[in-house]
Amino acid sequence: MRAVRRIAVQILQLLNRGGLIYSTHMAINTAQAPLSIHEFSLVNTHTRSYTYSTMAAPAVTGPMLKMNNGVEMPALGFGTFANEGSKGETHKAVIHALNAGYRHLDCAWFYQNEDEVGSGMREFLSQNPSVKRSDIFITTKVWNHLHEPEDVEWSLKNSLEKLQTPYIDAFLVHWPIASEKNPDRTVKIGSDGKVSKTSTFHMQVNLL
Amino acid sequence: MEKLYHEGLARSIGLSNFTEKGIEALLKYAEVKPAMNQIEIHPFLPQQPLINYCLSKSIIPVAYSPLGSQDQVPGTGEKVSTNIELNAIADENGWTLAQVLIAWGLKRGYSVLPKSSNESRIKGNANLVTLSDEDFAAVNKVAEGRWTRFVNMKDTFGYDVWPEESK
Repeated sequence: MRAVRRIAVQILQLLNRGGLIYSTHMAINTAQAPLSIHEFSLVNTHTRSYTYSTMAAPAVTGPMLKMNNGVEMPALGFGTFANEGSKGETHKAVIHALNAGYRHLDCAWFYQNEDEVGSGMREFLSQNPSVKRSDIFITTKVWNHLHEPEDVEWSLKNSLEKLQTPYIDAFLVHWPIASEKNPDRTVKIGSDGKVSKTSTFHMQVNLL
Repeated sequence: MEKLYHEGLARSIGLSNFTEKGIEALLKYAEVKPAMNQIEIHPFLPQQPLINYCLSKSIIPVAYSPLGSQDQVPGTGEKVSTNIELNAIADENGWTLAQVLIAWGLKRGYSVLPKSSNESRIKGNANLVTLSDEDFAAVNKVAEGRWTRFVNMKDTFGYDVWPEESK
C-alpha cells in the first residue's frame, strides 16, 4: 500500500508541476494528499472540466491553522525578504508564488519591497478573477524605530498603501527592540554606526 | 497596535523574534493576545521549548528560515543544506531537501515560510509532501541537541535579544 501511495503522490506532483491540474476551486493539498483511487479520479475529472485560461495551480495551503482570534492562516507561507534583490525581483517572485498556489505572503516594512509584493499580487489577481484578495493571507511587520503608537499606525498605513490592500491579515512587532527615528521616519544611526539608543521591553507598553 | 486591530486594519496582531520571557512580560498587559510569534526554526535551531511555550499560550509559531539559510555553523562549517542525513531522507523519497524541511515543520504543527526567487524552486517548495514517522524521527535526530541561530542582528542593533547564546 505504501508503494501505491507513493506512486499516487508522485503522479499528482508531476501533474501539478506540469501545470496539468488547474482547478482554482479545489485545493489539492499534497500534505494531506487525496490518495485513494476514488479521490484521484476526481482530480482527473476536474482537470477535463477546466475552462479558465490561466496557468495558475490550485491553492496549496498546507493545514489551515486557526489562531486564538478565530482567523485561519495557511501553514505554508511565502517569504518575501530579498537579500540583495534587484528591482522587480520580488514582483516576479510573488506572481510565481501565487501561480504555484501559495496563499500566504510574509512581508515587512523593513524589507523595502512591499510595493513589489502589492503590484505582483494585483497582477496575479487581475489575471485570476476566481482568486480574491481575501483568499490570500498577508503578514507585515513594524520596524524597531516606529514603536511609538502614532508611528505604529503610520507604519501599517504605509505598508497597506504599498501592498495595495485595505487591511492586513497579521501585523507583527518585528523585533522586541525599540530604537530612535529621524524626523522623516528613517532609522536613526548613531555616531558609532549602530542603531541609535536601543532599548527593549519597556518600550512595548507604548507599542500596544 | 491593539487600536489597529479593533479598527479592522489588522485582522490579527502578533510578534516576531520574541523570547519566552518577552512574551510572558507582554501577556501581563496585552489586552489583545498575540496570535503568532515568528521565529527562526530549522533542524539546526529546533526551538522546541519556545514552540511548546507558544502553543501553551495559544500563540502559533511561524518559522522563518525554515530551510536553514546558507550560513555555516561557526566552528564546524556545517550547513543545513549539505547535511548528509537530511539529504539522504530527501534522496530516498525522490524529494528535494526543501520539501523535507517544509514537511518537517508542517508535521510539527506550525507555519513555515520558505523563500526563493527562483521559479522552479518556488514551485517545488509548494509541492507539499508528508514525512513518514521514520523520516520524521530521522530529522528530529539530526535536530537533537543543536542550537545554531543564523539570524541575530545584535551588531546592527547594538543589543542582543539572546545574550545567553553568545556566552
